[in-house]
Amino acid sequence: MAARKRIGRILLYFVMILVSIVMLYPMIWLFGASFKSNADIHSSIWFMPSSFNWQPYINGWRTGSEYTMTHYFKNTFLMVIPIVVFTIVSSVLTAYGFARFEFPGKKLCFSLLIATMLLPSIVLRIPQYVMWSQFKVLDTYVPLVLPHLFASDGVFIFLLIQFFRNIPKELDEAARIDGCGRFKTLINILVPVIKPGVVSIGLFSFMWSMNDFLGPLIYVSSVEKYPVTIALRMSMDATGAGYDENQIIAMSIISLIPSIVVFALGQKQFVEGLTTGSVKG
Amino acid sequence: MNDIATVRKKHAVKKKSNGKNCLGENRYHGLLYIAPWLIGFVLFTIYPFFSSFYLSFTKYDLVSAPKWIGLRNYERMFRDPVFIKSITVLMKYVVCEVPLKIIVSLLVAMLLNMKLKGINFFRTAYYIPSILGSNVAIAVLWKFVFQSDGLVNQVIGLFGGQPVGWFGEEFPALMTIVLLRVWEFGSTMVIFLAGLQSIPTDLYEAASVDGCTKIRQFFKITIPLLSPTIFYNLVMQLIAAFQEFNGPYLITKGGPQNGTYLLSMLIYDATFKDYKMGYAAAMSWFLFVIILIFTVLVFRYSKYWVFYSDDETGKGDA
Amino acid sequence: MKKLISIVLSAAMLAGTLAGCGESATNSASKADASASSQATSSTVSDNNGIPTDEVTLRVEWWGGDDRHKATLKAIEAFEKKYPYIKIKAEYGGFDGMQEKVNTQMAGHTAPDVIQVNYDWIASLSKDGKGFYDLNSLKDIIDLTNWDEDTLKFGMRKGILNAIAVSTTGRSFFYNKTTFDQLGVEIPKTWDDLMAAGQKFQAKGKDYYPCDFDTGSGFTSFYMALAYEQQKTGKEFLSQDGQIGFTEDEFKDALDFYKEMEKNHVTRTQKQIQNDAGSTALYQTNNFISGKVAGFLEWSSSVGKFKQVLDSKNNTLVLGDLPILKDAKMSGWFVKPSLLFAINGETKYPKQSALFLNYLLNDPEASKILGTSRGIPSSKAAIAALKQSDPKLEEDIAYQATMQINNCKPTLESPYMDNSEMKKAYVTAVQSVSYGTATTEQAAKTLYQSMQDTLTDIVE
Repeated sequence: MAARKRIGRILLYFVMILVSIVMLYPMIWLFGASFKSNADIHSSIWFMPSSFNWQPYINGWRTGSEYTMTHYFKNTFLMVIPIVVFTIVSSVLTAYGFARFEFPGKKLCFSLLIATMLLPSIVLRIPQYVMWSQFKVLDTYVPLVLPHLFASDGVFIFLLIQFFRNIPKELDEAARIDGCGRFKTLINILVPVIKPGVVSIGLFSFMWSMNDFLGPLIYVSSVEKYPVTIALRMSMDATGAGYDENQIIAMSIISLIPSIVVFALGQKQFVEGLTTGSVKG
Repeated sequence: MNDIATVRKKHAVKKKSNGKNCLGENRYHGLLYIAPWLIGFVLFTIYPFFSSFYLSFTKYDLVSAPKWIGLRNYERMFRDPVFIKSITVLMKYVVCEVPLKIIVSLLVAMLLNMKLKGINFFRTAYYIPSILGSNVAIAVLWKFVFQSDGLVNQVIGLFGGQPVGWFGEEFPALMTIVLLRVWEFGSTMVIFLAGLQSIPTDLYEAASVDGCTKIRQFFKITIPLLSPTIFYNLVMQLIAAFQEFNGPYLITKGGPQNGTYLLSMLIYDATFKDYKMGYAAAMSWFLFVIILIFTVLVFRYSKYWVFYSDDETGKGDA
Repeated sequence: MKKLISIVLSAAMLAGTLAGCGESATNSASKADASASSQATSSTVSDNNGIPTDEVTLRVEWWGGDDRHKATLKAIEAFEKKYPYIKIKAEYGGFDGMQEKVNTQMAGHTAPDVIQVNYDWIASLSKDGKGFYDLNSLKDIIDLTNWDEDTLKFGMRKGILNAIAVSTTGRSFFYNKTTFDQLGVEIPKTWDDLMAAGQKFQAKGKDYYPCDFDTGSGFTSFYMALAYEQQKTGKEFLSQDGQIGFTEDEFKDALDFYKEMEKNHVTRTQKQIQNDAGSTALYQTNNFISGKVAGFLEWSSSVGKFKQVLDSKNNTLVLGDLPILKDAKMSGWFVKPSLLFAINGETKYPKQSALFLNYLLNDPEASKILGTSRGIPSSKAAIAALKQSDPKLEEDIAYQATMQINNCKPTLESPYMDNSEMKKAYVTAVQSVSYGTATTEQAAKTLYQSMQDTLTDIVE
């Protein structure tokens, strides 16, 4: 019995490692490609470069603009960190409101919340741009950050509502008997229970806003304020005489690192839940 | 589904009454909590929405003032062969992508929910494709994998099969996008993973005591208790699939013969390349209605299979 | 007191111009002006061009690669030194998303003062010709005599000069000489040569092709067929004001000619091209890098990336002759601006913007700094300065290709030819013929119809 279990384990690891390679290969290939010439990048799926020369990293970091990547990374974090904080706070509050309270117009509000997700965002770009230009906040991060303070992410609210609804209401009632107010119940009792959900939306909002291209592209016109996503593509001129792709690849690897680190740290939160999982035993 | 009800009853304290009455608080109290969203909705959402709705009845080339043309944009859609083809392709895409992605993410999430040595590494590794998003690497690697002498065809050759023309034919080309999206299962998987965490372990223990096999546990405990999360992922994946843009934009550019020209790409091109904002708005609102129909159906039928712990009868969705 | 100083200075400057040493006088005088005006901002003093010397900041937008960014920033620095009362705020980026950005800015009335634009954008962003500032009204500042009549026409819209071409380009044939030598095939000079080369390549190996006409990057196949048909008929396929010049039959003939190319193994079929590497650009595909696909039809302004790849593989890229029928009624090949500059119609500082444009496009100092970062300059002053500073210019393949097109009496591309919906119609036609989903006759009919529909919609 124990032997069979052991073989099962080994088999499991074998499969999981195999899949990991499929999942990780792009990163490995990217790393190799950052040392290749344009021709070599496009001629083989094999990742190994013929030689290692760190010049693409040096040139890429310097960029062809007035600023270095350090500057653009600073900009990105200046934008992304408030977005994450605002998103978490406003989404938790709103989701709590929807999940645990009855109030007039709730159904209508919830329908509107869902409905706003159904229209392709592309078609809203220009009206939104016109609106923010009326507010006189173009070329700032305001159009990119402020909506998150007002729970603009229906995706996340809906997610948290689902998580809240999976907690028995008895928990709230028990807290109330202990003398907790509604807000205190939320913070002290409920949020710890839905922690995996909160962590997920934090992770997503971090990674998505790190990757956002079209938003900053439209709203930010000063090079000084460009985030990394735009800075990355600054040397790519499809209409022109060509560019060193390894340089862009090198910088894109660096720009992925924060997301990978944040994810690696964040996903640990998922182990500390209540369960030992369905596979145990 | 009776099993879950009985199991739950064993562990849940009996409900006394409905929350709102027993607390006896102001019936507007909840509005306070949704205030951020409500204010944001009024300030930032209503105007662009109505504006785009209005534009769908106009001819608007971005620079001259919009000109009212009534329903002409909507009429035009149904005479536009590119639009009609796009809708059929989109339907095929949604039907293939959504179930596949949900099943794959759920299975992977179950796997990654185990307490294994090095599980943190695996979770991060499996999420990497989603972090890559629309990185340059994707387009290049997809080319290597699916080109005529690419990896997939070589593997097919090993088993004596005929090579497939992945990019040259419409349906296989669409499948390369489906596979890209399924491979990027990360976000859906993470949500499942988070959902699995909220299933109390003692339920499984109780079930084991009752002599339930693990497969039975999966269908009788995991699935029902995970149902709010499955429901969420289903709704979100439907919406995302109907609005899919990056996949074809990166990999096929809509070809061959418009076989992967999904509606969002069409809308994008109409807005920014063809200077037909009015038409783009009309197509968007048409897509809005399609997604709305599907979403309403999913919500309607959710009461038969989605169970919330805060609501023992499972009736009503928010 | 300060006003007095500036008046005196500008008088001195005027005298300096009259005495024929305007350059240095302007320089020192305007510096003084700038310091004066920065303290007394309401100063109404102008320099010798009648340009107000109050300190202003111009927003200038362009896309490009690192070379263009660096060169332009350097030119801006030199400009600011020369005209210290004009500050330039550079808003630049890659090509990705630039059209989206410019469109949004135009829609929101927030576009920069000076904007780099693509040829086909002008017809859409300035339908009535009033979308951008009338550059003719600024001809005292921008020396328009540096451009020939035809090149200026590209920026004309309803009789108004909306934009000015920085450089022009057309598609030429380029060949991988290494492959041709290996296979012992001569570089084709005529259409017949090209057809014959297809056969010869096929004889040597079925993966080898002397040329490639893909549709992904932008209707190359159709472009080639159009050139052929224009030579044959002497008709312009699409006029400057958006009238279709060909008949359905002539479109059919053009598509037949393309199909003939496929049959003769000159180019891969559209399906093969797709299967081999999807929508990837030719220069990023293995077939090209390995030399199996040994020729292509490409804009002189973009040939650099092909050359870069072949250079790194020690293959030689050569410019081929433009194939022209023996009894051709016209050369049939096209020319268009590779990019243009326009001034925002709503700018507060038209004169300053014009001064900057003139500097960027005509000034010898700027021309040397900018080099060929925006292609081979069309401005006579700029090219003269460039030839002086870069004696190797004429060896450049992009230069040779540009000259080849300029010297072949090319057809001026209609502003509607590159329109995105028109392109879709061409690509659909070529693909359906190539895939065999339509006969050339049916495809020509559909093409004619959809072109007509698009044109009635976009031409006003």
